[in-house]
Amino acid sequence: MLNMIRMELYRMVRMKSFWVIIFIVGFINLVTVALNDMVMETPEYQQAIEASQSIREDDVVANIGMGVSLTPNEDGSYNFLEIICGAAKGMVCALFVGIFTVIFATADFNSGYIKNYGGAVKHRYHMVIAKGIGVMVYTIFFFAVFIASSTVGVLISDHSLVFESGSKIFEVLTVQAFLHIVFGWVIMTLCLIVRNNLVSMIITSCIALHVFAALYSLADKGLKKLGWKKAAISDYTVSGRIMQYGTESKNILVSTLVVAAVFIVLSFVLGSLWTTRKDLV
Amino acid sequence: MSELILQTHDLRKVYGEQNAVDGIDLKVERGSIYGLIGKNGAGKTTTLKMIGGLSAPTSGSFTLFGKSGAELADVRGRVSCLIEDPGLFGNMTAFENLKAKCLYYGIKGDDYITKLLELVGLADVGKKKSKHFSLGMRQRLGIALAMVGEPDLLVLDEPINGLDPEGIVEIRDMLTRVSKEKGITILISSHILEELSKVATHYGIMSKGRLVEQLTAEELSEKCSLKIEAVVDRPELASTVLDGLGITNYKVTDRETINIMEHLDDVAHINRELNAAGVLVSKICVNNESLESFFLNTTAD
Repeated sequence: MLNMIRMELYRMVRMKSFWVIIFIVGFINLVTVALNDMVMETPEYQQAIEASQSIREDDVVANIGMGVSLTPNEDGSYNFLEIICGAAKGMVCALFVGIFTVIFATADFNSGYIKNYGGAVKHRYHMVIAKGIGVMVYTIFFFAVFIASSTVGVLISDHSLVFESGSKIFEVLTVQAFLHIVFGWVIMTLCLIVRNNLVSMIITSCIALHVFAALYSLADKGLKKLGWKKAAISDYTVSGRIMQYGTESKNILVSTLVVAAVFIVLSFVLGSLWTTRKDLV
Repeated sequence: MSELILQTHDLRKVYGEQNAVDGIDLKVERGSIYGLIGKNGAGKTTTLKMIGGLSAPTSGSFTLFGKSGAELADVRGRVSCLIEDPGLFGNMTAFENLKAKCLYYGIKGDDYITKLLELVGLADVGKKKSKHFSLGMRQRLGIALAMVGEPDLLVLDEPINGLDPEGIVEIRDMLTRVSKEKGITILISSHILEELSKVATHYGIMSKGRLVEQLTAEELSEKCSLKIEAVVDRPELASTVLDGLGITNYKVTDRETINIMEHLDDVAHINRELNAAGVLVSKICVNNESLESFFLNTTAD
């Protein structure tokens, strides 16, 4: 088992996509944070702000696409957590974690490398766990790069950075990172079941770009008509919790962890059952 | 018979409504090089996938190193395979591809990998990514990957595909060497009997998912060598006549056929002596079946 994890980590850090995605995300994040002032002054941005303010609170709106905006405090400083949470809640991090997970989880199947060791595996669920640990390590590394590039971006832009209390930063970052790891595991299981890069990538993108959120909104409407007045499917999904969990979310911590735990169990049980029962090639 | 390392029992694999493997009973002895031969689509690869643990049988079972059923998991690590095209990470070098598998087997040290690369003739590929390898180089790396961990049973599916003549000879010599020196049992498939005949000690001939014949190299060579085939009405009396003529290398193959492997130029004399002793000879001729025609006849519809 440990050997299999070593193998997965070894091949992970030798994947070109591992470094390309990290580099692109780090660079784009640094540039966009650093140039945030310029973006805020553009007419397109102002129009978007006005449009969002004209929407009534009771309107059912499901935005499709990534939506991340950074608003400085009155003294021109930025809150550290808001920068990170803005990107996380906008599903930017989930999109890139998902894309890498699809490439990583299917690489040994697509290349045929699985034929070299798959038959010798004593218990196939070890493969799922080893891949899962690879996804976890990647997500943690991704978050580290994201935080570092955001911090450097703010410092370059001549703004100061305000750090909230240490415990709050720890809580929100840990929960968001944990949710992203679980999101990666869900995508990993999807890949093991579908075994098709294109289909997995499309589904991942649809989740991260809020297409599924739009579908959930529609389903919620239907469920409300059927009598479930507080229907909110996204409350029961990992992606929904990623979009909800921020600085003011302590009251949903337990329910968020419960949703995550259910998806962890589902991912590993389904992934293990599927790889055990299906032929590897 | 020496110890059986692998034995299948009515092994089947069904895809949809097609019987890819239709109830085969394979027996592979320890230390042998077992050649599995059959036309394309005969079921060789599917059989090897099941034995290699990559695919589950639809029904039937097999015993590996004396273990079967749930206990098979304990001996899976002693089997290594190269099935169809070599599975390689294109963005990695030969060394890195081997390193990944070595990590899985808990093998440390770069010397081991260097030696493997030398063994398959890839010592000089350096930093070249495996996606830029020729088919022959990929095949060599695939064989090296299969050798990682020094398995007790090496399952190779058409390993000489894409190799140049020199490469074929090298791989053939290497397989014979590792089988003899390290006692590795090799199960190797091919659709070219001529090539297999240069390394295999045992053969299994497959056709349409069935194992139509299993024989040793000696039995195959006997079947394919020059011989006088005589069809007679009284084989016991014919045997006495042959003994009288000083012929000892002959075999009564069924109730009326005798194969004589010597005195091949004395067909007329043997015929006359048999007739003189009262043996009715309905057919006598010199037969020579090539490996190719033997294979074609065995797998014919």
